[in-house]
Amino acid sequence: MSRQQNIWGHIQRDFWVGLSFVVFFLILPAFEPGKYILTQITLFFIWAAVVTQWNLVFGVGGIFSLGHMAIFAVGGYVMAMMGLYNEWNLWAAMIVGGITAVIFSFLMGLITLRLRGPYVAVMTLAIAQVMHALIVTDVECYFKKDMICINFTGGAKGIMKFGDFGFKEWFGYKYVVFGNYYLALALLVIGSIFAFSIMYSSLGATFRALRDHTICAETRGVNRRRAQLLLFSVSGFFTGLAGGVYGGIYRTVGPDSLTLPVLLFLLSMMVIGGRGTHWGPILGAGALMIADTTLRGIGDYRIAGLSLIIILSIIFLPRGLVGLVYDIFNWKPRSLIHFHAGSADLRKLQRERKTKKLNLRYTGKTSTL
Amino acid sequence: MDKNSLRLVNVSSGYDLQKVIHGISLNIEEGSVVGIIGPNGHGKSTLVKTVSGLVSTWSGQVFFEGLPIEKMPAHERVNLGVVHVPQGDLIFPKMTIEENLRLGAVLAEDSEEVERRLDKVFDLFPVLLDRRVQVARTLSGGERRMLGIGRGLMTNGQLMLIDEPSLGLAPKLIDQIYNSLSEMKESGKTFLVVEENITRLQTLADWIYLMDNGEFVWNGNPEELQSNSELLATYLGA
Amino acid sequence: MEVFLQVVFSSLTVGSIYAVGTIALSLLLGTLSMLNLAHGTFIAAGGYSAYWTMKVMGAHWIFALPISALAGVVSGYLMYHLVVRWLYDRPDFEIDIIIVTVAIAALGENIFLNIAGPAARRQPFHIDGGFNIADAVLPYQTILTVAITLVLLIIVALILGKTRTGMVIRAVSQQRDASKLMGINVSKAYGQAIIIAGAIAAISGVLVTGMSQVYPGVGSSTTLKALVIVIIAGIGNLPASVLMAFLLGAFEVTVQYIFGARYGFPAMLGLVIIGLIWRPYGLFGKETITRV
Repeated sequence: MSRQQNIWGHIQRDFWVGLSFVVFFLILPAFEPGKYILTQITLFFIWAAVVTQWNLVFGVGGIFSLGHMAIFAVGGYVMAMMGLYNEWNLWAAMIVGGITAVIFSFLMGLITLRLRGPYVAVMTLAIAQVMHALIVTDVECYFKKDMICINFTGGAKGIMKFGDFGFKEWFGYKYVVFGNYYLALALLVIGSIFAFSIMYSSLGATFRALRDHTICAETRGVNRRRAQLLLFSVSGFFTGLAGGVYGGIYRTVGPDSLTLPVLLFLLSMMVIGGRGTHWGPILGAGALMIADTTLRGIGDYRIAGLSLIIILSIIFLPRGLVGLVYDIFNWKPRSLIHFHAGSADLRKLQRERKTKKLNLRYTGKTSTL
Repeated sequence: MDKNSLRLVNVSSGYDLQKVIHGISLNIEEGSVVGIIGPNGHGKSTLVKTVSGLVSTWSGQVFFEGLPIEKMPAHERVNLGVVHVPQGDLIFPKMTIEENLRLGAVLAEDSEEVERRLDKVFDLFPVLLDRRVQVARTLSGGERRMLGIGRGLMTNGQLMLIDEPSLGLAPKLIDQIYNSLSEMKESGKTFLVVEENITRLQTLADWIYLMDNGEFVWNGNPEELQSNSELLATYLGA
Repeated sequence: MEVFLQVVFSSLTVGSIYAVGTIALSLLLGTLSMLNLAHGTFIAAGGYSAYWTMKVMGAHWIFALPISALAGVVSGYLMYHLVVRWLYDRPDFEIDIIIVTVAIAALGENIFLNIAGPAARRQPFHIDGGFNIADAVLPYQTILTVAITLVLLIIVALILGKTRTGMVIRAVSQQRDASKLMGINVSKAYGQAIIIAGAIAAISGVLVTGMSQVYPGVGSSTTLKALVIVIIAGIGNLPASVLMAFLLGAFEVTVQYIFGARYGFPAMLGLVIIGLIWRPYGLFGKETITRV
């Protein structure tokens, strides 16, 4: 099977899996699972959407950012501030939040992407921490509304009363839950379509080449930084939107998303799902939301549990649940499939040798052979 | 008692998902020099790395002095006496020549023995003695090669695996290197030498294997190779 | 004048905490390319051990540092044996270790929280008082910290330069495959390096908590700042890290004095960012040339 046919087969498979997923969740509410379950699933959609973008940047793009939640926060905060201070319609404000997140990602990328991979992690983490610290220590009153002191960034309490999506007015109080649910689902679907498109595009192939054979690819004129910057910025839009959706649904935007427990939660989703894979983020988000929901009583040990999940996954399940599924069904995990392209080149070269074209030197993977 | 220093039985190995060597079998008698030649990128280095342990054996067996070593990690094989002088030298760039050499015998207990070996290496390669405090990364290609071989001698194993000793060197330096290899051969060590440069190898080796696409396609003594012009043309572009 | 002097002394104080905190971090990063985000766990282990030794067991202060070092050794060994040992040979090691140490750090903090409770305690290994110079105070603790920082630097240099273990670690950091061919057990070398780093970090933890307090989260705040400093100084350059620690500490203190406490770290980070845009490998770092 040629490589082109191979990929088309995968796109088709992903399409059908995705379609079934969407259809399932579209009709699920009809079975009346109850408000609590629906809210948890809504949260699952939002986190899955965020981790999808983070995985795109981290696992596919090779940008080891630990500050992804800063982008999420920017989207949420800008939306809330526009809603509170400028009294904008929340939908418009959410879009503005997304666009601001793009700009913020772009700047963050400019700053950090000149660094070698792992150091990006530290710098982005530091940026997120600084953001958290600045918000939490914001204790000055920006203005007084109804005798209540309101900080510019909302401080540790967060920003509230900035408006809402209007579900209550349109559908009535009972159906707000459904409005949130479908909004979050839409966010996940659109974000995922974007992510999958990137992964299947030539940009995706570029990143795989960069990841597996960095120096080789770079000497062939592939501009790592520009590609990464582009990816980082655009995926920032969907992350910022997610921040807005989250804020609009919970009617509060606060600094909690910038704390370590949230980072740990999302990181474990990405890791256990499968870094750099297509369905990893959604699988991981689902697995962890289920665990989190069912293990409510654990509280104190939640952090310990998440840490152990991350550590054990990295050691024993490096390709995550996706890798596990593929191993069970004996398929090759998606991120390794394109490695085969490299060995196909090698085989082609060996065939050419037999027909006496002796002066070829395979410069792809150099001194290892 | 196995008089073979090294014996490979149907060995296959490779990297990640790519199999490079297919069913290689090979015997090397103690004290002899065996050469492996063949076009680039076809597995010669991989074979050497499989013997030394830098690459895991996928299937088959590797016997060193009768002992199966295919499951042993590389550093344990060194303790048994398998010494690999790698392609590209892999010297320790920020250390001096002397430190590099001493690292060759870093796990040796007898410090007098280490000094003796060091003296022998300096005898063989006087250039290294002259520049003993020079930092390794400033060395020229020929000097690095000597350092790599010298370092291997410091480890003083019975089996010396040498990967492309003439790679990238000018003819006069290659002379020097091969002279030192001949001297080393006198001491009774067993050699497996991988080379692209057949001419020099022919004078040193007792037996030669030709590798193509990860398999041995021919083996014989150097004279047979010389007279087989078709072989030379097909595989070696000579 | 007295304000200036006080700022200088505060800078020394803050700088010394940062400086002592960077040594172990820089060691692991420079020799094994291992970004240890669980560095804070060693720091907390050191701080809590000293507290336990002196306060709980009532021992003489002379035992505090050795026992903390021991705690560091044990923590380092556990980290190597349970986690790093499986990961060190993987191609993704550099990034895997970051993710894993984030988790270990959180786990460690959680363990300390559950064992010792959230209350912040005073570090008993501590010298009160200081030199009074023109109405400004130079704390004795600061001088102690600077002194121990220098001693630790010397110890690391001696270990790396003069011992066989140090030579092995240096070899592994420069050429891993060749090291294997010298008979070196690379995995064991990792273990040794982590244990050494653990001991050093634990001792620095005693001093760090001496200036602040002993609480479960003490490690994470120190670690992030230490990491930022190590990066701007340049990977693997220990003396540079110590220098940058003092310089950035001075900058932070000055900003805090002028603009307020909350702007200290953001300003420091901003300065580091500018520095990194100018020199992406750190001010004193070198671009490593990998073989193509």
